[in-house]
Amino acid sequence: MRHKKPLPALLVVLLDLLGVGAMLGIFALVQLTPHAGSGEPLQSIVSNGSPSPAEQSPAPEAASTSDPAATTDVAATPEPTPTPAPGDFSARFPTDEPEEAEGVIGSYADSDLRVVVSEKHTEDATYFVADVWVRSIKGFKTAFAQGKYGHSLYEMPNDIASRLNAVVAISGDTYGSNKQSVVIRNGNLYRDTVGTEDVCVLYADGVMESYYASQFSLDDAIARGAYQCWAFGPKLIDNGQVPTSYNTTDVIISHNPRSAIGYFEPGHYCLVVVDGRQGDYSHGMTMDELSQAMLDLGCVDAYNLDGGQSAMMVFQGQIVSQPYKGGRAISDIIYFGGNDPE
Amino acid sequence: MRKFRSALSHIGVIFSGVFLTLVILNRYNPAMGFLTSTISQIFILIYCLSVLLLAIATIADNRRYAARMHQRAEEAERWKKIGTNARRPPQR
Repeated sequence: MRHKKPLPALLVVLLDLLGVGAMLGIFALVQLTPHAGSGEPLQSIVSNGSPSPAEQSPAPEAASTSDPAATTDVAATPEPTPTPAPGDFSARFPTDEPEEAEGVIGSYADSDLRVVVSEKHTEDATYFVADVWVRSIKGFKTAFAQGKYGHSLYEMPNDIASRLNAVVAISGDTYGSNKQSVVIRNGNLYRDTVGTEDVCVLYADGVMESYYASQFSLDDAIARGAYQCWAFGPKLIDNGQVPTSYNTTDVIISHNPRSAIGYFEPGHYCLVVVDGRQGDYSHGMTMDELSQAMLDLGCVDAYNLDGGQSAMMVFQGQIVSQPYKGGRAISDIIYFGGNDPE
Repeated sequence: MRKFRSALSHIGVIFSGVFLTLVILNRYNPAMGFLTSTISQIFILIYCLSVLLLAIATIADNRRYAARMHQRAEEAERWKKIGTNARRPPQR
């Protein structure tokens, strides 16, 4: 039997490397190809800011009747004091003008929304805080890139915010980069796959709670009236303290640009963006530093969103933070004011 | 068998390279699901099957080689005995 001469070792190594490259190419092709979903949510959990009809108490019967006497009786009945519906924060909503405090770089107030954006500094980080009050849960909005739900659909956060005339916006959880995380937006369930990340849920009653991945139950969240849900993390506050460990990698925990959301009370939230990776201007924050900053702001719960180059805050059409390398296109934003989500 | 083992070895090398890259990428951006996506799971399946088949082929080859060596040793022992008998002085 005639034996072939073996290929040179270098050529074999190069061919194997070519194989590695080809496989990574196939991976990228499958993983990163944009794919618009049907746009239809799997389930409507909360409609128009109030929990779905099954969860509501029965509405009073309509007063219309053909009997004139009955009409008179109804007209004579004094109007009852309206009970605030779940997601109506009118009782707490501040009506005074935002104060001009130190570090404040802008504010906005109308009958339904009050925003104060301020710039803060630590020893080696610059960060921006948007203190937000909404009158109704409907004022807490999220939007998808390109106006539709789908995989690997990206758009610059400032472009999404401008399209929707958002008063204030920050980058979301970039749900479109993976296929295994829960997506609930504006009361609609778009994806019901629970992943390995910590989860943050904003309920229709205005309460925001973040959960460790192992403690999250989608069914419970839906039953309680989840209005928004993000799956990125990690959770930043554990029982009112800085967590001892985080559900993420060491690389993520180290100094980085950050984007986070904090919760004070129903109707009162804060958006935080930390600039980073920019030499003398700002190094960014470690996860511990971000947790401490959120606690210092007075948050009772807080959750880390997509940071790094994605971290960006937009206020009235202007990028107020200084994103690393100018920012990048992402899947979604959290925003207040402006048009309703598409 | 040798070609089969060689092909499996190259598949193993290629997928090892792929996963080393994905593990590093995952450390920088775990939210991208580099190690948990469907395509990653398909790659893991191919990688595991190739390594399993390579291992079976290698173990089978090693056993065959060991059996051959054992047979040769026995044969040598037999020849040794025959040789010793041949040198034995004739019985009177």
